[in-house]
Amino acid sequence: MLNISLQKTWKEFRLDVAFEIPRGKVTALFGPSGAGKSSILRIISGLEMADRGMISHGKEVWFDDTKGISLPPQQRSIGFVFQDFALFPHLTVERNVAFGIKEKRRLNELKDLMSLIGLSGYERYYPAQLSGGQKQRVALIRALARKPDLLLLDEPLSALDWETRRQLQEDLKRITQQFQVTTLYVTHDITEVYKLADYVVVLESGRIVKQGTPEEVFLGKKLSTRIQIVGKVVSIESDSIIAAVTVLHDDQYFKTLIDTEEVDRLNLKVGDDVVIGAKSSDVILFKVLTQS
Amino acid sequence: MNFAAPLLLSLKLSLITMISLFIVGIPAAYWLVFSKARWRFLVESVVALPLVLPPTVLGFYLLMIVGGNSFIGRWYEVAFNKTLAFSFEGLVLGSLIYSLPFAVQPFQTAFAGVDRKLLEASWSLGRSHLYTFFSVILPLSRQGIITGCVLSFAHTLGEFGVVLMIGGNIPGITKVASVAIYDEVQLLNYGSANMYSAILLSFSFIILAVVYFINRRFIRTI
Repeated sequence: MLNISLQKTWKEFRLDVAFEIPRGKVTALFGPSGAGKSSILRIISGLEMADRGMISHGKEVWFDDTKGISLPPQQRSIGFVFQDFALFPHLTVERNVAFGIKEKRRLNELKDLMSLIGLSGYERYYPAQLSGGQKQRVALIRALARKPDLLLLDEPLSALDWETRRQLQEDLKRITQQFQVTTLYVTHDITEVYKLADYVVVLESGRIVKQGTPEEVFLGKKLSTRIQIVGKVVSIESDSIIAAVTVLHDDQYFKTLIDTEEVDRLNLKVGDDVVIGAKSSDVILFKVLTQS
Repeated sequence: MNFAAPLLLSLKLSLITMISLFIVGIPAAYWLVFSKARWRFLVESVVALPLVLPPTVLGFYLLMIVGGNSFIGRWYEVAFNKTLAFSFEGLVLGSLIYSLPFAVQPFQTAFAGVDRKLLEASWSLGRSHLYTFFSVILPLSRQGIITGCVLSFAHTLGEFGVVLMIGGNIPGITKVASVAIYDEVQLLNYGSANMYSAILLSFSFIILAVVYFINRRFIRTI
């Protein structure tokens, strides 16, 4: 468990937050740009210092202004994944991944790490020879290679195109689960929160406005539906009684009918993020027949 | 008189100055880029002074500092049993200061040009500032470092005023090629002066051409 409480004032912005990051889970830090998400991440990592507050990881105190404690980033067991990858351009993929590994014997694990992210065979490539998605995979595994207690991800997918982003979401989910690493994930994309996070902390202008599971936070209640699809509204066709709402989820479209009144009540617009839920008791399931 | 001696002396002086500036200039440039000291601009101005000062002014003050009447000059005389002024060592010291900005400024520009995110990535991966410097900053500053070294070499090769003020004109010890040219002209030996000049000119041109060739960012760096 990571306990965080911090305050910092810039010229025209004040950050004042307190929250916990549960061990082994993915916590999303969600909010619009300029809300202070990245600053929180930088302060937790030790790259920036808070004016006041305390950051502790279990019994280990990383920052405490009252006691004058502030560990440098090197002494905090963290892995930081930057939005623009921050790979060392003069080092090969392999040497990038090994950069934080100090024990020689652990270099044997490199091979496994490379195959874990599907980059076997790319060991001797330089970052400039990789695609955006591959770069971010390297950055992710580089951060995890030193087995950090806390993984910090600063909008890791926002520099990538839509398709790559979708693939990397899957990879991230698989890898964070495999490593069981406590993760703090900064994002402004609600689908990512749903897909990856166990908990979400919602930030607005430097303050926490809500926190809980994604369902609690975004729907105000635990949803009892069995089927949930998170996506973006791409079209609303409505007449006076009923509206057909088309939602894009991954690369699939889902069309659902709701009352026009409901559309007005929710002030639903094209581009909104929504959850389609269904309480279905007799779902039909087909096995897809593949030719062997 | 040995025709090649002044040329060889010039090369020796330039080489030693270049190596010394590499050793002194890199930590200095690092400090100038990463220090948060408020008076940093003062140090920066001092480093840049040789760019604007007449070499004679610099040479004059250096002579005051290292001359037999100064503390440093007397200390050196006691310690090494010879004077610092009018010696090769004195020349090295003068060249070091005179060419300082030609090494430090390209180093500085190169260090400052390294994406800060890369440094943060290195620190967050548990690596110290020193490790980060040698593994990230230095390799990524290669072009700027080569530029700084070559420029300080070429600049030392061409210096005249400081050398004459602090070193005088002692054959084999302080009489470098640029001084030899002046000498030859005074003696109306235009032929020898022409030879020295032509050699220095071609040498300097070749050095600069090589730098421009390997480093297209040269203009932005200086």
